Amino acid sequence: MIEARGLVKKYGSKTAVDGVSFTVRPGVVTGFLGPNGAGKSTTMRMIMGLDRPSGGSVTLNGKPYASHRSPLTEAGALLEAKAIHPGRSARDHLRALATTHGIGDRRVDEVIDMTGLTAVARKRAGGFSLGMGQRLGIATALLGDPKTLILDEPVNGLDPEGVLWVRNLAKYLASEGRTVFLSSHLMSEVALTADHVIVIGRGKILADVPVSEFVDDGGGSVRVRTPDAARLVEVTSADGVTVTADEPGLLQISGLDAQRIGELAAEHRIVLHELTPQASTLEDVYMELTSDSVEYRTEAPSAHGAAAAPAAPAAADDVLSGSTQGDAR
Amino acid sequence: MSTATAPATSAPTSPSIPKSAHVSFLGAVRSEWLKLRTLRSTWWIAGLTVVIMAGIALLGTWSLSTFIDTDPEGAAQAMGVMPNGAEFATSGSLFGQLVLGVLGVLVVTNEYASGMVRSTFAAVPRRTPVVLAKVVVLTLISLVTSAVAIGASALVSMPFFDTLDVTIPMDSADTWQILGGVAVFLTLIALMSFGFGLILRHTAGAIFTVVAIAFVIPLVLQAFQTDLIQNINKFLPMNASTAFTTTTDAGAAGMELLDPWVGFAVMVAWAVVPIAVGTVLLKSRDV
Ligand SMILES: Nc1ncnc2c1ncn2[C@@H]1O[C@H](COP(=O)(O)OP(=O)(O)OP(=O)(O)O)[C@@H](O)[C@H]1O
Ligand SMILES: [Mg+2]
Repeated sequence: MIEARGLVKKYGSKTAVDGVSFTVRPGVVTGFLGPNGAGKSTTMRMIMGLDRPSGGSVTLNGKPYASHRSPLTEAGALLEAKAIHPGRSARDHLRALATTHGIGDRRVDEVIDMTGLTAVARKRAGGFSLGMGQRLGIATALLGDPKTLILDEPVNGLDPEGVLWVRNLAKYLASEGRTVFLSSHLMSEVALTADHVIVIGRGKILADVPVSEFVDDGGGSVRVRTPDAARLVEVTSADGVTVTADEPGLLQISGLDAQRIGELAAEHRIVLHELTPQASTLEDVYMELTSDSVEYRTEAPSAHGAAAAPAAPAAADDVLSGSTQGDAR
Repeated sequence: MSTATAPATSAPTSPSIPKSAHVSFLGAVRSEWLKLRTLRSTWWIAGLTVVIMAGIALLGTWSLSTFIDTDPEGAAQAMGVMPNGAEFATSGSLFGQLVLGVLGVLVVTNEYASGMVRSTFAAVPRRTPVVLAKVVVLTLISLVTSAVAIGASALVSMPFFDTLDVTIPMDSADTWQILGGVAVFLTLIALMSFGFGLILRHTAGAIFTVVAIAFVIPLVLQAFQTDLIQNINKFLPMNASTAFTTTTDAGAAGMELLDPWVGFAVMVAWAVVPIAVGTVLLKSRDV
């Protein structure tokens, strides 16, 4: 359980976290979502007692992190920036941390096995690839078998197999009754992993809702392929319904759900070749929420269309920047 | 623990973690020792300290004995009173202090450079125990390294003692004041360097500061023979420690020095003050 109350962090004149209050509950995976520079990492560092809040407070299982008798078994964190000396082996790194709590080598070897680092455990961490470094970071977070896990962009640098593993691990840990708080700037990532989502932009909480609700709120758009596009537009046109045609015979309809569109088509004997509710609405909702609060923008507008569902982080950034060009700051 | 009514927060704990697991000062000391000994740089620096100090002692006694062999009268005039042999065995400390100073700096700055400091403070969130644990392991490794370096220096310079007509009288309190004093002095310099590392959090900046205070400034100030400057110079680490570790006029080299125990106290202050300031800063700053 993580509880933030009016949490503020200022770096000089810059306010990174601007009075946020939220509760992260045990038993579910909570996504922490926001564009670059939104304040996710800063908030997580404050939870771990590394950065000192400029105002407000944050507690972990009822107490500030530093007040716990056994901090490593209360919370484990994978932070954004590297937190490993390159000259030390993975195993020695973990042993050094474990020994502060009187935790022995058995647990160290256990997390090494869990994270798939057995073969390289005695090699210097400085030679690790990005993904192996990330695995060692996750092993560090798991070391005390903590009640709360704080993972700052945990899938960063992992291969598809690793990404899947982290998702399943997060869900499994939550199912055991642990608190799992996981940040990302990709809505799609959070949608796949989390049950609950807290959206932050420019240091302020924009949404704090179950993921399912988050999707519903946005309404949906439906992709429809039909040889009779003109008639379908006719019969579906109503207040609050927008139809866009991306190419001949392919429509994006929002304001009506797939079921209603199918019924209308049947009523008017219109042939449909495809009727697909678009998952990208998740991205749209997120984009809409954060469009006023995007911290960094690339200078040149991107060529990507705003409706493309981003799969890669780079593409997502493009979409973000594309949709916020020209915002006055 | 795992009854059906247990709240959701009491997740199962791995059986390989003892129920009593908790953070402790002893644990922090063990951790710091493990961190120190698992870095190659530690052993390089310790080895270099021994080699440099023994090398300087060897060169010094060897060249002096050659001088005496070739020009006994000139040598006698130049030397005046011969020092205690222990002073030959510690003659490399001026350079040895710089090498151990680097160790002291690195104990803290390498954690900032690598980001390890975030893991350290995630495991031991209270700042003061981490500082004290580092002080403990740094003190131990510095004392042992100094003792080995002084011992090696004594061994390599002894063959020339006959020619130089000196001994290391083991039953003399002076001998132990010199040997012990230099070992403590080297350790205090390592601790002072650690303090500057804590304050500056940056390897190059901290080493630069240590070299300036421990080496360059006292040598430069020696060139200005005004009362005010010499009074300042007395309080710098080099001369404060010489006040304690020199028992004959020859070692003082004509310098005006503090009383031995005042010098010792000043030297302790040079270590304690930067560490205290660094700790206060550490508690108020972000990691
Ligand atoms: N140590 C610091 N000193 C000064 N400014 C900082 C510091 N850390 C963060 N900031 C600023 O605070 C804001 C929030 O940064 P933060 O790293 O928390 O964002 P984030 O949500 O984690 O972004 P990202 O998705 O890029 O990781 C940014 O504008 C950043 O530049
Ligand atoms: Mg971040």
